[in-house]
Amino acid sequence: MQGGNWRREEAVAVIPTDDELKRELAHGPLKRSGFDERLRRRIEERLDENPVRRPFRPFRLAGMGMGVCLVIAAVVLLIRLHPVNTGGTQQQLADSSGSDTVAGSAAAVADAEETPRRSVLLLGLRQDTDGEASAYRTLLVSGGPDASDWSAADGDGIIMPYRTDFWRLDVQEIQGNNGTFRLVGAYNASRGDTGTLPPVRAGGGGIGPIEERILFAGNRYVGIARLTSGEWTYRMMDIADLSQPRNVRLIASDAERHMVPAVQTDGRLGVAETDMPERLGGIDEWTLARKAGRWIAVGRDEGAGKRMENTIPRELPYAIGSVIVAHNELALYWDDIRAVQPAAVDAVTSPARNMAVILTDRKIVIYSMKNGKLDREMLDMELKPGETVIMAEWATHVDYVDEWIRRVSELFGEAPASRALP
Amino acid sequence: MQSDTGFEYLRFIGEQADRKALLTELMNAYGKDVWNFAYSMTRKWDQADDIAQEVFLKAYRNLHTFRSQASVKTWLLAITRNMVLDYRKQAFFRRVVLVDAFREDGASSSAEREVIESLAVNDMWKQVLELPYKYREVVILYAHYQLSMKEIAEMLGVSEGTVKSRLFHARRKLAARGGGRGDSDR
Repeated sequence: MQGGNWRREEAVAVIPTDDELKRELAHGPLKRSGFDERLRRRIEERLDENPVRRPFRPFRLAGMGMGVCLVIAAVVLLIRLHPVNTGGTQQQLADSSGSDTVAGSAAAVADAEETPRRSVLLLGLRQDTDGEASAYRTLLVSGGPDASDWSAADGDGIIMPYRTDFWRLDVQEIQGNNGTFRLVGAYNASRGDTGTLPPVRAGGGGIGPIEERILFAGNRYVGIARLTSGEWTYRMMDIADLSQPRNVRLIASDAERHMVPAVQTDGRLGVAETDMPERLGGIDEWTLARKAGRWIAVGRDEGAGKRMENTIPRELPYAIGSVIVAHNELALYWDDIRAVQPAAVDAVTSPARNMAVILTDRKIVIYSMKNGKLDREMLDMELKPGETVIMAEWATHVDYVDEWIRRVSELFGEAPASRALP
Repeated sequence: MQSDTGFEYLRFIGEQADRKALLTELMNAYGKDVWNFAYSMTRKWDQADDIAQEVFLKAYRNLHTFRSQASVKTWLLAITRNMVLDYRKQAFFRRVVLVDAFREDGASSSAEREVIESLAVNDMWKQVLELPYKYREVVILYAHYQLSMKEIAEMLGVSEGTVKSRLFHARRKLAARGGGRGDSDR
């Protein structure tokens, strides 16, 4: 110890001087400015327009003429649908930074074989708007070796493939005595006899408003965020339970059946019933969230309640098992993604590695892929303000691609209905 | 930084002036400044594109009315600031990503952070871009655009004392994040 003038350098907060600030901030914030020829041309093209708000742009084929809006052709193929199993091709997930590495080994990317087959994606989106209920829609995107394979359409609500059918997920609004209940429900939309969300048992008076949002949908599980008495809780539900009548009193008292995380024998994260021995101890609230183009599990400790130190969900240090997410691989490097879309915030790639969907904060851009790299921009469409991905389900088997296109496009034409018991 | 003296003639142009040619010159001179400011305040690339577009379209429509005492650069930055505020009010940034739902300190979302991490020119900019909005604004206008206290105060509609106070607090926040090598905080 040196005496009175000794300073613990590491404990001193160093305030930047004027000169240092001006020197360090002399150049722009980013290595590359967004004010490029592309933006300049865009401005010059609009000089003679009347000052109106940015219009909604319909889906269009990139490079094949503006204003073309494709409708999915109804191709009738009566082929049994099986879930696509990519578990055998999944590699160890990349490290959590995700920014410079691809999920999967570099060798897997270099040796990627784009078989000449088609891919179909069901992309579920949720839009949050202040003071209003969240809105949901599903995009159906198809692509393949021919230009005619590429098309897109969308419909309200979430259409989720489950086993051999398609289920519809949505949030229905029911007026209770003390407030509004916005609750998630599901029904099998593939059965012609049902077209309504399950009824809700309002459970009498005394229960305040409840609002649920869908955070994740995949395989058979649905991650929900629920707001009651000013507090959010996170539950993973089985879609079969959401298709049954829900009881508001059970929901309000958090007594509904839900799934908890469990570590499988392969070390990956699966699900279990709440009283099963293999459940992951200490984690009671959990769901899946998007990070760097893949799903991660986030959770909170049991009994976190209002303790501030435990209210922020943390990433669970387990790879996600295929029982929850069948395909959780991003077959691109983020540097390559940002080279074409600097504002990219999310991305998904087909298990067949022939299609990539990149999301910025304003648009969805669809690319073909070749030799493990982005090839051509095929489609782009507007992403609504505040929309985020909550589902990404793929079909790549030749038996199912046309089936998905036909059945989902038919469902897009139907509107869900809901009813509640008094 | 571009010198503003080349655009003094804007104060004297009439409605018949070749506005497209003028706009081209303005974009050449200030396009990056406007975009950089929009990006710094929104931290969203596409949003910065839209704002920069709206700024120059508005400048184009109002070129012949520019009689402000401020410099052209300050004029454009002020328009940019107002556009950013409009976009913020329209809640274009509303999203519920689970881990971000609890952020109340102005820090960027994980997606924005990834762009900043990979493209920011240096650590100081990374720290500045993480500052809360009102501190980030004064630091950038002062240290990057080198506006005077008076110019910043007029743009923000506050007193010079408030600007100095925000700069003071901004620098302390940067210090707390490890962003400086200058005077120590004893």
